[in-house]
Amino acid sequence: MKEEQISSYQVIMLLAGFFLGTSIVMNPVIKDGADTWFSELVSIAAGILVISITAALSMRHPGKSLVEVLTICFGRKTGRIIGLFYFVFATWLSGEVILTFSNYSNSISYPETPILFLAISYMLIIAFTVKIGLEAIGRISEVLTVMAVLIASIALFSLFTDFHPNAFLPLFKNGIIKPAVDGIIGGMFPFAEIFLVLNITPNLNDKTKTFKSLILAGLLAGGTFYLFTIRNISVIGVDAAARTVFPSEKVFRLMPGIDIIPLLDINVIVCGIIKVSLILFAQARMLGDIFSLKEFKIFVLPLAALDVVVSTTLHNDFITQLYFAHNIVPLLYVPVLVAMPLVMLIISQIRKRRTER
Amino acid sequence: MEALELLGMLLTFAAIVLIDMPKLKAMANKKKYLRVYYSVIAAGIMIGTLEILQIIPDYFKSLAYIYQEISGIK
Repeated sequence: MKEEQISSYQVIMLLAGFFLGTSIVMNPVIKDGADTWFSELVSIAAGILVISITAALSMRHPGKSLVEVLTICFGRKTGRIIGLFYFVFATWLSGEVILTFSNYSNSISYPETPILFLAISYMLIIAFTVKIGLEAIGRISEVLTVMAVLIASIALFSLFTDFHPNAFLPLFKNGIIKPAVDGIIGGMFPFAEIFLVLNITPNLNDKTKTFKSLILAGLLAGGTFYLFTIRNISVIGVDAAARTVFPSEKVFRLMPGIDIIPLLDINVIVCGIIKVSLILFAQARMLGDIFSLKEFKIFVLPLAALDVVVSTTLHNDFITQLYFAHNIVPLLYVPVLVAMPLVMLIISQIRKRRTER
Repeated sequence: MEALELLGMLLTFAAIVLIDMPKLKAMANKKKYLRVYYSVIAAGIMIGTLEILQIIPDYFKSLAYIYQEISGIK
C-alpha cells in the first residue's frame, strides 16, 4: 500500500483544528472566574509540556505508529494488548466528540433535529474524509483551520469596542495556587489527546520537523483558545461568562446589525470534523497494526458506525457531559495520556543508552 | 419504536457490509480481514442493541461516587 505523505504545515493546521475541536465550546471561566486569564496561560504551558512528551517519543521512533511504539517498549503481546486498550479509548473519545458537537448544533442551530440524525450526518462526512485519505484531510485542514482562526479573529476585533478590561479585576481573588492547579489540570484537556496523533506522525514527509510541528500546533490552538476566553470575559463579564453554557455564542450574538452565529457554527463543525477524522483514522490504523493488517482503511465505515452507536450510549444530557468534560476527563487523561507516554519515553531512553553502551 | 430502531441499525450495518464486501473479497489475506471486520460490526450491533433495549446502565451515575472520592468535587 502506498504510504500517504503530509507536510509539516499540514500537520500544524491539522493538529490545531484537532485541539480546537470541541474545546471551542468549552468554558474554563466556570472554575476560575476573573483569574482565567492566568489559569489559561498555565494551561497552555502544561499543554506544551504534555505535547513535548509525545513529540519526543515520536522523534525517538521516527516512522513508527502508536501500536508499533507500544510493541517496541513493552514487547509484542503486551504492546498489542495495550494498543487494544487505546483503540477502545479512541472509540470512546470519538463518541464523546461527535456527541458534543451534535449537542451543540442541537442546542444552538437545529433544536428540532434529533441528535442521532446530526451525529449520523456529521459522521458520514467524516467517514468520507478519512476514506479519501490523510493527504486530503491535510489539504482540507490547510484551508479550514485557517478559516476557523480567521473567524475567531474577526469576532475578536469586531467586538473590540465592547471590551471591559475591569472585568479581570480583582487579580488573584482566590490566591495564585488555585488557578495554577486548575490550569495544570486544564492543560490535559485537550492537549494530552495528542498521544493518539502518534498514528499520523509516521506520514509526515519530513520527520525531523515532527517536534517543531507538534509544538507549533499546540501554540496556535492554545493562543486561539486564549483569545476566545479573554474575549468572552471582557465582553460579557465574568459572571455571565461563568453562567452561560456557550459564552462564545452569547458574544457572537452581540454583534450589532448582522447575524454572525453561522460563522461560529462553521467553526465548531469544521474543528469537530477535523478532530473526529483524526481519531477515526487513528482507530483504523490501530486496529490494522494490532492485527497486522496493512489495508486498515477498509475498517473506516464499520468503525464510523460503531462510533455513532457508542455516542448514543454516553450521556443523557449535555449538562452532564459538560460536568464530565470539565471535572472527570482531565483526571482520566493523567494516567492514560500523560503517565503512559512518559513511561514509554523513559523506557525508550533507557534502551537507547543500553544500545549505545 | 424499539423494533424500528433495531431494524434501522441492522439495515445500516448491512448496507456498510454490502459497500465494503467487493473490496474485502479482493484482499490478499481475506480471512483475517473478514474476522476483524465482522468483529467490529458485531461489537456495533451488540452495543446498539443493548442501548436500544436500555440494558446498558448509566455508567456516569455508576462511577460518579468513585470519581467524587478521587477528585473531591461534589
